[in-house]
Amino acid sequence: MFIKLWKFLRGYVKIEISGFSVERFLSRAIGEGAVFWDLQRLGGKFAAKVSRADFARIQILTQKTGSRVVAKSFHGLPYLLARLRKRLFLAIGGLVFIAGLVLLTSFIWQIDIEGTNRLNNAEILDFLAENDFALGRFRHGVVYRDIENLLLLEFEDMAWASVSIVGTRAVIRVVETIEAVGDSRFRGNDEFTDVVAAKDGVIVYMATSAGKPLFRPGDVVAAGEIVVASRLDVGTAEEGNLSHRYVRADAAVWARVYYRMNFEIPFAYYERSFTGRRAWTHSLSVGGRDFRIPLNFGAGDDFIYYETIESRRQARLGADYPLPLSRTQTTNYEIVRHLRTRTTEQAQALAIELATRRIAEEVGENVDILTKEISFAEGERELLAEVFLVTIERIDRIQPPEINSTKEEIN
Amino acid sequence: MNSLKRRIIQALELPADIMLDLPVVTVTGDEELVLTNHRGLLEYGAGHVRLGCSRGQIKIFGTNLILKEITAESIVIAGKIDKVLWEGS
Repeated sequence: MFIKLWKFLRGYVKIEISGFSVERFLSRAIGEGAVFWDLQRLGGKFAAKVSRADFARIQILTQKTGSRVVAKSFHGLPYLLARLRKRLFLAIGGLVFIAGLVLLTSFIWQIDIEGTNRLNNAEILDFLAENDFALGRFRHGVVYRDIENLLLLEFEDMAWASVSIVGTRAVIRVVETIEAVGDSRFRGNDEFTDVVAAKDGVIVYMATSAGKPLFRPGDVVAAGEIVVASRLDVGTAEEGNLSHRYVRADAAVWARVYYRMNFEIPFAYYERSFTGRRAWTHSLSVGGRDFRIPLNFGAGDDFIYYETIESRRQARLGADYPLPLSRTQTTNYEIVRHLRTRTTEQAQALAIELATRRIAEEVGENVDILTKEISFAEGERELLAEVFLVTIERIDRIQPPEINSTKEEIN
Repeated sequence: MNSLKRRIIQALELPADIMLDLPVVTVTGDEELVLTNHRGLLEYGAGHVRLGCSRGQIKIFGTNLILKEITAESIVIAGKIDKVLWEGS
């Protein structure tokens, strides 16, 4: 790499050597200090590369050895500059172009956020923009630590943040806090919490380690109801010394939960297929502004049904230097719809597939399913499916209590 | 004289290739051959290269042989190398 660069900077000539004894000429030349490279035989001639300085030196030897050296092409910076000397405006244009590139690569043109799950990327970007860290910001002089601190102060769910700039791309890596749901270990020491039911159900088991239980196994509980209260009564109302103390309530509550899901599977449906015809347009985005190119390509815009796919390509110098210039291609793919009908068995199979998927989404995978029943009823145009599900699952969630008392009572 | 010089070199554990100007051949697989201390290119073709050395000649046989670099001290030959032959004088 560096040798090639060095050769380019010094300039070199591609030559063709012919004559009675080329080997003798080459030996004499290297004896004089010349260096040849990429030497190969092409029939009766030799092709080689030689430095600009050596090219001048070997000319004298050709007469002595009876060889003939012909320059085929000139390469490298000295020859490039010599050519540019005659084309002043091209040289100026080239310099302006390089200066423009250097200028453009001095700004941040892409911000990537990695590691978010609960946190919203758009909110983080908005917050950064409010704090003068947005697309188009000059990338030099950015104090990473300040931005990281700002992020950590603003977003409670962010446990760690790191800002780095690679080329014109800012990368913000975050680690979120662990959700405190269902586990008292992650609560703050000074927070009082109630344990509430996350779902409707019949309590089958309760283990309370702190707080005042308001339900017992066998009770029916509704979602949002306090199961174990953080407020403890001290004294009695009869004696006139009733006061309250608050604790961080903690309990594991297991309940039998009932689910009922309904699905309608129509017997008639449309099957879509692509015809292969497509039509597309282009638009350019320069510094966040979109310019539509008023040219339509492909089959035209007479499609009745179509699917649209947008693909965006950002101009970049290598992977880490995105530039504020992108081209978007919007392609419409024509679709035809065929009316199809499904049999009762096919509709039932689809209903079971949809039910399985929804159970996985709503109920989760780490839950004991006691009963799973699915019943079908045929309507005129559709199959009606009803799924009845009974599970045993943990339903305790923590939430801050509503405290109406004075601070003295709390302490 | 030469024998005495060799014995001195051996006794002092000096590198013989430098002191006696002997050729050194380094072959990398069958792809590249580097020869230092040569005495010039005698013959070159795509199928063979003949090089002069202090005490004879070295012949390299192969296919598509290219002289990647040739200087007064060393020569780098690339291509598919089949055989390296030493011919003493």
